[in-house]
Parts: sequence; structure tokens; C-alpha cells
Amino acid sequence: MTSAVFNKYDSLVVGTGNILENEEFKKAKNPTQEMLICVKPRIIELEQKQGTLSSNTKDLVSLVCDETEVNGIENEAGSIKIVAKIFLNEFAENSLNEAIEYLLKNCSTTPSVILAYHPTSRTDSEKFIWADNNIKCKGNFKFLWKKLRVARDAGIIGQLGIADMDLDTILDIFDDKNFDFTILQINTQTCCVVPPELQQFCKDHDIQLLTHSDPQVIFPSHHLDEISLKDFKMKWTVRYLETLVCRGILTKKGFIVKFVKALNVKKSDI
Amino acid sequence: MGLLTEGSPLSWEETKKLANHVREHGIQQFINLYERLKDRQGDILKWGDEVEYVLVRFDDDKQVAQVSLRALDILSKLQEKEQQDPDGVKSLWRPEYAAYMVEGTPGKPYGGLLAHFNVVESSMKYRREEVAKLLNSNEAVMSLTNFPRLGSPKFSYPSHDVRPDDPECAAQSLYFPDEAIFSGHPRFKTLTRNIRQRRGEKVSINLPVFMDEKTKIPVEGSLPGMENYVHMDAMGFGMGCCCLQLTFQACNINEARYLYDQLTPLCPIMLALTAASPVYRGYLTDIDCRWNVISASVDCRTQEERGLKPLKENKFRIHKSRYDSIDSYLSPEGAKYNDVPLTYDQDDYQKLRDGGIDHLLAQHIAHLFIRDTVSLFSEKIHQNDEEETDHFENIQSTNWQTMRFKPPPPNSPIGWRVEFRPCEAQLTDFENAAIVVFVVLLTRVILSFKLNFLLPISKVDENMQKAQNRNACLNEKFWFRRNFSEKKNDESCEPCDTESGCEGCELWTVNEIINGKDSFPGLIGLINQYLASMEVDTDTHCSIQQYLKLIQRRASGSLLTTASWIRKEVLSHPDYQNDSIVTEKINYDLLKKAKKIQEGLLPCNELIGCFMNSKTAEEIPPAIAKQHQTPVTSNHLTNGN
Repeated sequence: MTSAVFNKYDSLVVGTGNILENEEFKKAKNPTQEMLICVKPRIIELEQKQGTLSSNTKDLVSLVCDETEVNGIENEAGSIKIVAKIFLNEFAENSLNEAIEYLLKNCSTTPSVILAYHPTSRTDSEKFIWADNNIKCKGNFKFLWKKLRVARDAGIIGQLGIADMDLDTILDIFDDKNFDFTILQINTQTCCVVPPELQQFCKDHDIQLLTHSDPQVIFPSHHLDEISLKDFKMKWTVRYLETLVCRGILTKKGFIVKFVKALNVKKSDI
Repeated sequence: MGLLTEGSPLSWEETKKLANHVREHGIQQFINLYERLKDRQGDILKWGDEVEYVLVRFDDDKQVAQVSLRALDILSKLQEKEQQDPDGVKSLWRPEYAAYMVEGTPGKPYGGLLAHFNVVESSMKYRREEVAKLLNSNEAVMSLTNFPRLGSPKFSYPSHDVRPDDPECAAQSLYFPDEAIFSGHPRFKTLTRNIRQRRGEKVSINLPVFMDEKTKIPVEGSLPGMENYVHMDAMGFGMGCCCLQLTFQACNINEARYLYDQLTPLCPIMLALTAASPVYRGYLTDIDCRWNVISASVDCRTQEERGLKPLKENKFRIHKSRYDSIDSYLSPEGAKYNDVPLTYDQDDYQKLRDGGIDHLLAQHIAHLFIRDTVSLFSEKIHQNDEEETDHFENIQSTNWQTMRFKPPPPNSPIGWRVEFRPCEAQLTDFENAAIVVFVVLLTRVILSFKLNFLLPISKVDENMQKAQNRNACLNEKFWFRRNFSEKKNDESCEPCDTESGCEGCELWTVNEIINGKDSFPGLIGLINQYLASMEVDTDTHCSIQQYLKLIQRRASGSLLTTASWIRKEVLSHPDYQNDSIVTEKINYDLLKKAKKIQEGLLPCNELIGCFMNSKTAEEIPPAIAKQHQTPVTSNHLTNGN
């Protein structure tokens, strides 16, 4: 079901705010569940205050601005670091810029950005393997990367990272040999058997080889019904993490998601 | 085991006369340092571990294992490198109580990045190898919590006769000769003598024997009325045990107080989980841990103070030994759980309050200072209270509690620190690394997720006693807070008196606490949740996951605790006569096997599982070091205390 409240909108951008304040998230068993636990109450909240929602627009935006103080524990600004991961399962020219724009609204310092671009194939919508990819995906990735480079060079975002890419694909995509990312994230399920050539590559290029436990599709469409958005689909998701680096303390974690009416997703975007 | 200052020790009579002098100036020194350092801010996470080791000598012909009294010799070689290059060494070595012990710490503290968790095991390995290189081929360095036959005939090499009636003898023990006390520093014998003299009699340690079919009662040497107990009578039985400790720096005094409190309820849980010492004086006991043994081994309280006689000479009835679990919380959140009345001198307390110190900290310090100094050096009597802190440290470092709240040392870049002290030493570097990594990760999780584990102090005390029982890790239930993540100002867990528990706490097994129960994801679940949100490099992630699996499986019982493993080895030994006695041959075979396990030559699936192949590394990955240029310093967090 799609709630009648949201039916009149074409798109919906929802921010969770700092989920460390949400006691429930600690019980989540995986990143998808965590996202669901944190997005759901925001959706319910919006439904409840439907009367006060703007009716002049087709695009509803509801963010939560995080408080700047951290955990009641004193803090020095210099050591704060924000790393955001942008999850894209569909290519759209404006998605990346849009995601970064909303991300920056929630950042007190320049964020590093990791791009997790996992285009879903039409035959198996939950799975995509870079090694099997087609030229279009790679072309799309290159397009997105160019945008990230521009944003970084303009100082809008900090360092760049990529997720789940094997060495062959990296060499193929970065054919200009400009490996200008400092983070390569790989899934923890395979962490203990990192291919030695990938390790060597990261070593040679000062790239941090980090782990993650995110699925390739962070918010599978079958969960949309649970948040009254059956007729929508996720366009992009940003998950940001703010840490006090030298103290190993996580100070903020949040999601910003854009949902669009499924019908409005143009075929060319897929 | 404590502050080491060189010099000439005073006799007990002289020391006793100066007790009030030390108290008065120690408190003033704390007031002064507090005033200077209370606003210190912005320290990053740095931390270090301390592992203590026993030197063991194997006689393969006679099939005998003994403690080797060569620590002085070995230590002087170990410390040479440090003397030549104090900032460049990869490890630091300190003497410990016994002449067969050494204590090693990393040369520099670990930093606050997650990647630093992956260098811990490597540092421990390096230390063990460093000692091993200096040993004879029939010797081994072993992180044994307790040498099983300590105090049995000929337990040391060389062997020495005991001199219980010699007035010059420090311990006057029937079992533990003075020669087994480290002789390279006067502190240890002085403490031994002074504790005995202050108490007015020898210390008395009594552990229930493990009752087997043919266990002879009375146990040889047991006290009248305590026929089922293994009796020990010297400081060496306790302070001659090894433990695994860790110290970490907080960003300021408030964070230190907060973490001191939050880790307090976890002390008994970690003690039960790391239990590693079921055998004492050659007897299998019904106890799995060293804690009460050490506690009794340094119990300097007089009969009056212990409540056996009405108070006449002494000022207070004192409820615990100076080695025991903490008696009060320090943070505002913890205040309402201070349900045990604290003993302290009202004038001392008032002096601290007048010095600008708040109630919680003032009562903590005043409570530490109910103890008399038991070791004083003539060179250190007269001090400049504005600059020096030796009198404060004198009392602080002889209050051996589960947690220690440590102010920054004078004129030092080191910040406020907290020391976590309950854990028993495990056989391998892998296990020891797993435990310290687990605890330090927990502190990060507590701070990130604002968790709240506070329990009334009386319940922590209760847990502490249960934690030491045979197989407590599997069989006991511990008070634990149900609402682990409630807001700090929530009032739902009020201290209460009822036996059945209160609204906020329940009796949980170690397994439930570690692996989760109902909606509680378990300490492991919380750590994993935290790790999923942090940047972790692949090798570190791999190592941490192995460490967490070890803890998970020890808690669930699918792996044995070290204590249970030792028990099993004894009970299943062909020579074992069902009489609770660990013979020389059983001891020899047990330690030989332990040595093979620690060296990785013998897999031990029931103790460690199929892990022990972490990806520990000497350094953090260069790409990470480059990204997070953390200041490199050579301040030794654990040094001196």
C-alpha cells in the first residue's frame, strides 16, 4: 500500500537525523534492517502530520537537522571526520549531485564520499556482479566518477572511495591510470581472502582497503510496502557516519533517502 | 604491580609513625594536582596492555616443572635496550613481585584508530619472543595466571628452605620462601613484611578444595575449623599470580570517570570469562580465579579492622582488603548506585571538599586514604606537595582494585586514565589480545552508543564473588542491567534491596550478556553494530572477528575457559588419583602441553577452536597511517603504576 498522504507526491526525500539517538537501531542485525528501523518512524511521523505538509509541491522533502553537540561529551572540532556512502542501484544523471546536495545539509565538515554504484540487472534485480558487467555500466560509472572528481576538486567533498570493485574492473574503468580514490571498500564476507594482487594494488597506490557489510541493494523494493510506499522506489540512499577519529568514537550516523514514484522512473534511467 | 621508587625502605615501626604524614601530604598532593589538571581536555585515545609472565624450568629427565628464579638476571638484560634507547624500544619490562615473574608492556601506547587493534597481538608475540631468546633451552616464559604447584615442596629452581620462625624473614611462610620474592628491588620484601606486621599476624588465604572421591580431609596444612580448605600464608601466593591489565587514556576527567563507572559492572563478567587459575599449592580447588587469593594475600587489616575485635587501637572497621573490587562510582550517572556506605575520615573528606573537589571524587580519594602506607622510602619522606605526587601515588598504588582511576602524572603529556584490572592471563598471545581488544572496543561502543551498564555497587560485589566459583562462566547467573541503552537521566533502575532483583536488573548468564538475550543484542552484537559503522581495514577486521569469536564461544561454552581446560587436564591425567592433588608429574605434563599450545605447536580445539590465525601485524597499514597522521609520542601510559 502507498499511503494516501504520499500519493500526491512524485518524490520524497527523507532524512533520519542522527540514528544513534534511536534506541531501536542497536538491535538491527544488518544494514537493511537498520535502515528500515530508522526510516520507518520518520515516514509514520510524516503521515501523522499530513495536514501540515506542503501541498504546493510535487516533491516532499523532510530532513532532520542534527544537533551539533556530541553525546554530552566534550569534543574538539578538528578531529571530526565524516564519511558518506552513496548507494545507487540505478543510473540517473542528477542522482549523485542531488544526494551530495542533501548530504552537505547534514555535515559540519567536508565529507569524504564512497560511491557504491550497483546497477541492478533486469533479470535478477537483487544481484549485480561487476565482473559480469556491460559497457554501459562502466560508462555510467565513469560519468558518475567524473562528477565526483569535479565536486572534490571544487572542495565540496573530500576524499573519494569506491565499493565492491575487483582489480580487473578498476583497471578497466580507470583506464587513465588516475586511481584517485583513497578508499576501497570490500564486503566483509570475503575479507579474510582478499586477493593478493588487490592488496598489492592498494598498497602501491596508498589506498585504504576497508571492509563493509552492506548488501548491493541496500533497500530492496519488497520493503517499500512496510513503509507505506509501495508505488515508490528508492532512487538513491546516502548513509553518513561522523566519527572522532583519534578516539574511535562514532558520533553520528544517519540516512537520507530519495523515493520516487515508480511510474516516474524513466526507462532510460534504468 | 605498583609504583616503583628506588631507595632505602623504612622499617615497619618507622613507616607506621609516618602513616599520617603520608596521608596528610598525599591528600594535599591530590588536591594540588586536581587543581592543576582538572580542566585538561582533548586527549586522544591511547592505550596499552600489561601482561605478566612466569619463568618456568622444565626438567625433562625428572619430569618436573618449577618456577625459575631468574627474573633479576633476565630483566637486567631485557632492560638494557630501554636504557640505551628509551623512546625507540618496542617493549618495556618491569619487575614484578616474584623472583620468577616479569611484566611486559608495549614500548609505546597503541593509538586510537581501529587499525591499532591489529598490532596488539603482534606486540605481545614480540614480547614473549624477546624473553624466550634470553632463556635456557629448558626454560619457558608462560603467561600463567598461577603456577599450579606454587608453594608445594621444591616448587622453585633453585629450591630454598622456608624459615617460618626466622624473625628476619619477610614472609615467615610455611610454604613460600623469601628467595622466591623478587630481590632486585626492596619494595617487594618490604611490602611483605609490613603487611604482615601491620596485620599483626601472617596473612591467611583459604580456598575450598575441589572435593573428589578420595580427597583427604583435613587437607594437609588446613586451619582448624577449615578442614576442607587449602591454606596459604604468604603474600607471594597472591602477588605471585599473573594478570592481564589494560590502561586507556580518556579525553578528559569526565570521560575517565564515566568509563571507570561503566566498566565496573563488567569486571566480574570479564573475570568469569577469563578464569584461569583453579589449582593452588598443588591442590585442585573449587575456585577458578586468583582474585580472592590476591585479596587475602595483601590483607593488612588488623583484627579490629576486620571486625573480630572491638575497635580500640584502630580507627575504622574496614570491610575489604586493599586488593578488592571498587567501592564507589565516580560519575554523576553512577552516584545513585553507590549503595554501600563508604568508610572514610570525615576530616580528610572535608579537606578534599575544601580543596574544590566534588563529593563523589572526594569520597573516593578519602576512602583510598583509609589505608596506611605499607612501604615508604627514606628519600621520599619530605616532598614538595606543589610538584610531587609520591605520597598520593604511595596510597593509590597500594589500593589494588578492579578499576583504577589515574590522574595525569606530574609534568607529563599523559592525560586522565582508567585501568581495567580484573582479567586473568591466558596461555596464548592470541587469547590475551582477544580480551584486551574486546574490552577497549567495548569502551568505544559505550561512548558511541551511550550505553549504560550501571548496577548498584552491592550487586557488583555479589557478582564479583560468584564470578570466581568453579565454572562460573557457564553455571552462574550475574546481575545485569536490562535497559542497557536507556537515557542517562532515566530513573527506571533504582537501587533496591530485594533478593529477587529490582525492576532494572536481572540475573543473566555470561552467555546471555556476551551473546545476547531477547532484544539485547549482547556485547558482541553491539560491538559488531559499532564496527559496521566504522572504517575498518580488512586485516584488522579479520583479526577482530577471530577475537570476538573466541569470546563468543567461551561465553557460550562451546570452548572451555582456561580454568576449565586446566581442570580437565588434571582430572583426565592417568596419574590423577581422584584426590584433588596435582602431582609433580601432572603439573609437568600440564605445563608442557600449555607450552606447546602457546607456541602454536599443538592445536587445542576445545580451548581456542580452530582460530589463532589472526592477521596481526607489527604496524598499521601505511595508507591508513598516511590518512590519519596521528602524533607519534613516546609516553608510556602504563609506566610506573
